[in-house]
Amino acid sequence: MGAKRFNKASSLHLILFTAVLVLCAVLFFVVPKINISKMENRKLTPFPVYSWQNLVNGSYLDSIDLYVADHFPYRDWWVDVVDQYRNAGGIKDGEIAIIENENFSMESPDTSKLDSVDLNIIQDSIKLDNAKLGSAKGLMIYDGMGIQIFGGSNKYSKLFASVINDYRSTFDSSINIYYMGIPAHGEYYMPDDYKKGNSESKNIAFTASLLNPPIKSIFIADYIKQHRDEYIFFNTDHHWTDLGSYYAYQKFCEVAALKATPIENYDIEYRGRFLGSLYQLTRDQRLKEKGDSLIIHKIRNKYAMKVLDNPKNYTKGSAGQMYYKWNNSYGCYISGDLPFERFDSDVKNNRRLVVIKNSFGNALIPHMVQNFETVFVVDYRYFEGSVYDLVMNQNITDILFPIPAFSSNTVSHIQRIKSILKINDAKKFEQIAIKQTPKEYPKGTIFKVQICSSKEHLDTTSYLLKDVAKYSEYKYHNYLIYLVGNTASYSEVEKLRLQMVDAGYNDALIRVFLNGELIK
Amino acid sequence: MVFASLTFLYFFLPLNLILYYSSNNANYRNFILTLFSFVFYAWGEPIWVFLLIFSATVDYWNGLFIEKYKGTLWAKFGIVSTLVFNLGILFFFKYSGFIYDNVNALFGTSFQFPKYSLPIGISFYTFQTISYVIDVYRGEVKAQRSWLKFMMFVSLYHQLVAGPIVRYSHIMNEIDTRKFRIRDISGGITRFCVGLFKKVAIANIAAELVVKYLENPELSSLSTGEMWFGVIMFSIQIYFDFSGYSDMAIGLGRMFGFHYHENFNYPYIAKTATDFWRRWHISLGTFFRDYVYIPMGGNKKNGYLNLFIVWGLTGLWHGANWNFIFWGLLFGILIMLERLITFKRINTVPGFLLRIYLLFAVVLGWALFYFTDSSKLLICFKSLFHVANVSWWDYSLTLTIKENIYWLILSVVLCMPVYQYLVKKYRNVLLVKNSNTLYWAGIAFSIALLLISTALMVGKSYNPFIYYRF
Repeated sequence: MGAKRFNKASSLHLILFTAVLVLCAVLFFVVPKINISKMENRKLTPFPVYSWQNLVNGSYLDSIDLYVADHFPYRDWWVDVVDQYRNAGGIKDGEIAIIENENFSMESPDTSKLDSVDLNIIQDSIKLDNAKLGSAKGLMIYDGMGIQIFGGSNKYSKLFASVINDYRSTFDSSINIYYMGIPAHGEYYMPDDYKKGNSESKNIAFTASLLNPPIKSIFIADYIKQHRDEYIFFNTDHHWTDLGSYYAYQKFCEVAALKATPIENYDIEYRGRFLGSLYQLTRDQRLKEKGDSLIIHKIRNKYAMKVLDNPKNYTKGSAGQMYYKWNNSYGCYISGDLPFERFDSDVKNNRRLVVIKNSFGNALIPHMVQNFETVFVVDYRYFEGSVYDLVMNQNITDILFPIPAFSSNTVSHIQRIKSILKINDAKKFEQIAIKQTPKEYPKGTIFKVQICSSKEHLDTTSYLLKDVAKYSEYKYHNYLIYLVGNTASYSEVEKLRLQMVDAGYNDALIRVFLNGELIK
Repeated sequence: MVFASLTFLYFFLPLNLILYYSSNNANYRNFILTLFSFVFYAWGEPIWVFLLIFSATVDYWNGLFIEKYKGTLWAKFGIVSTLVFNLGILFFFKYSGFIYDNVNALFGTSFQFPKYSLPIGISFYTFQTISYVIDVYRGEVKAQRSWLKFMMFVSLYHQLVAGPIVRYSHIMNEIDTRKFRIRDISGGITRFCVGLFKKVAIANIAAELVVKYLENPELSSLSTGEMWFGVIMFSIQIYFDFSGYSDMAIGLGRMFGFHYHENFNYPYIAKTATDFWRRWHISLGTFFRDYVYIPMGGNKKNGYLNLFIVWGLTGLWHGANWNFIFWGLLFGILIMLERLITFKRINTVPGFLLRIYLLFAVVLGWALFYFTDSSKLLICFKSLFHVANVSWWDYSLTLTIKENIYWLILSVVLCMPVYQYLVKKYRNVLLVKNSNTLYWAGIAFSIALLLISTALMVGKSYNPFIYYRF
């Protein structure tokens, strides 16, 4: 080629290259930015807030990189190109695939550290978002269905059971507490030839064996398995269908002495096809081909649904939709994952239920509304109130924990479930009440501050007590409680309690003694 | 900042090109390039950029000082002070933690060393300035009088953070006067896009597979096949990552009128360890040859001792840990053995056998390089040689290989000089027939690589959430 032509082509090369770069840069500023990615179900990185500190530690400029990537023009289109590149990279087995990436193993399966987990350290809900699928070890794609590989273990069960037992010991035995461990796809659809991961139903059974007897466990695995040929789990979503949850509901009614509505008494609505979370995570072609349909079993009862916006106000809220119109995926049930909701039905049986759930509970709620006067729905991941207050103030008769094994084997979830009981808040109100009406307590009442409790004897070598100069031990039911202070004045004990809280005993609470016996 | 980021590619680079070429003034251009280099460096190291400027300024003065007192004791003093200063900085930031740890382990002490983050690229730029000052001392180059030009030489963002280690003598003419050649720019663009593709579309994907296997929390339960696969993936990752980075550096250099030397020459087709190091990270190998091995006496005096010192240091340069030293020594031993056997005899062995030997040694070397944790390294080697109680193969590996088979073939093929082979074979045919088409195809090819790489970088931010929550 002549030198001239060569130079001409080179110039064009430069022009084309620069044009691509500049065009994208210009589009970046011109194309309107969105804040939420529908494709990914998440908030996109906002432009970072400048501060000298952020600049110096490098996080400011790092965030700009994230911001640029998250808001790159026509991002969805680029992501599709990536799919095609990745799909072209090999041959997809029509039957099976195993995907192990960060999306499926957020929490380390290193169980040796579990013995020292402090359940009182609550991670904020943002961290919880990152926990994603909980204790999953990976994802298997089998015959067009996404199956999470279970990575839980008995050590998690112990932690989880201790939290549910805490709930049990907090409430009067007249209040029923149910634990419904939910196994996911793997339990029913994991092919025997490729068995991976631990058994969810075994893990659930073990958890149930650790619960104090007044807690009623609902075992659903065997019963649901009988219906495995029905459409009980989505192919492309990590949730069950409402039909799957219906069978769990039947099992629940058996245990709770209620009459389950026959499946014929539901109205069926077809909402068409959708691709669920597991597709979004993997963008796997096989899942895309198989897809899912949303078939809703609607209840016929009359009910009023309220989305409560204040965790302390149990009546005020806006109307919600049981089967959200604008969402044609699993997200339609009870309008998605809202922190706190209330359903009042036309049933009159004096039974009022609190369901402490995550998204798996959503499909279950409509069924429950058929058998309770009132159902409160608490999403433990986002609820900021106190379950203790709720149960005490609303004459609750039943509490249900429908928890997938994946979540009950994830520390951040267990911590969160524990934290929302918030017995301290409740006690604080109680104490304020005491302050105003001291007459309640007869002469000779002594107040002390409980700083910690234990099943075993503690001494000054324990880290819990090593900073306390003088304390006393008291046996209370199965526990030994450790107390400081000794005063007849309520205001003084409250001062002491706050001091102890400051010293790091976040759970410090006031105990009332009369004649050496604990009365409150 | 890194090359394989959207911020760099779509904001930094076009702005830099436009501002740079918007004036003919040489001082202006040098200033723009230096300024952008500082910003590039500060993007990742907002504090240590001042260390870079300080260290380069000291070397700038040292160069002038040594030249002024050439042949006197003062020049010797200058060269010693340069070495003490540069190696001192390198030791302080990179090796002091390692030395403390070893002292503590050896004597049961518990000295605490204040932990600093390692300034990016410090191993590269200190070597660059050392070579400059030594060359001035030896009279091989003239000291640079302009502070700005010297600063530009040290901080040029093309090679600042990950090499190649550019010798001053290689680009000194271009520092003073650079010619604008459109075909250089075009060639640079292609080279850059190839490098970007190697990094984003091969190395990054290999990295995912490396994490899947070698970072597996249950490493000891991996089958022998999976362990080999993981280590081979790391071999692919490190080659494409590093050589892709060098390609991008060379390409960027050409876009701005610099010609850096090649840093890689298809190392995985080497037949001997000696050959491998003539093809792998060439700028480092030649640095140690010219500034350490030969000054110590080369193979004339204490040849084998020198060999081990050089290879121990080469290993140590890669990181402050024993595994890097052993990795370096592994090559020292192989090179020594090759010399003992003599190349005359080696060359009688069929080429493919030699290549198998070399690849085997190199891949095992990468395992040694990868695991800084010796207990993990032991698990890895036990599994590689199947002396641990593990299975040979896992069906999920078959799936992984199948799902990535074309990508794998591409990666392996690109480790070989296919392009050169094709050009050589078909050059005449193509030139006569369709010279235009060929050229257009080349342009389209580089733009296609750019777009695929962009997609992969955007796709990296794809991070779906499972919870239905807004």
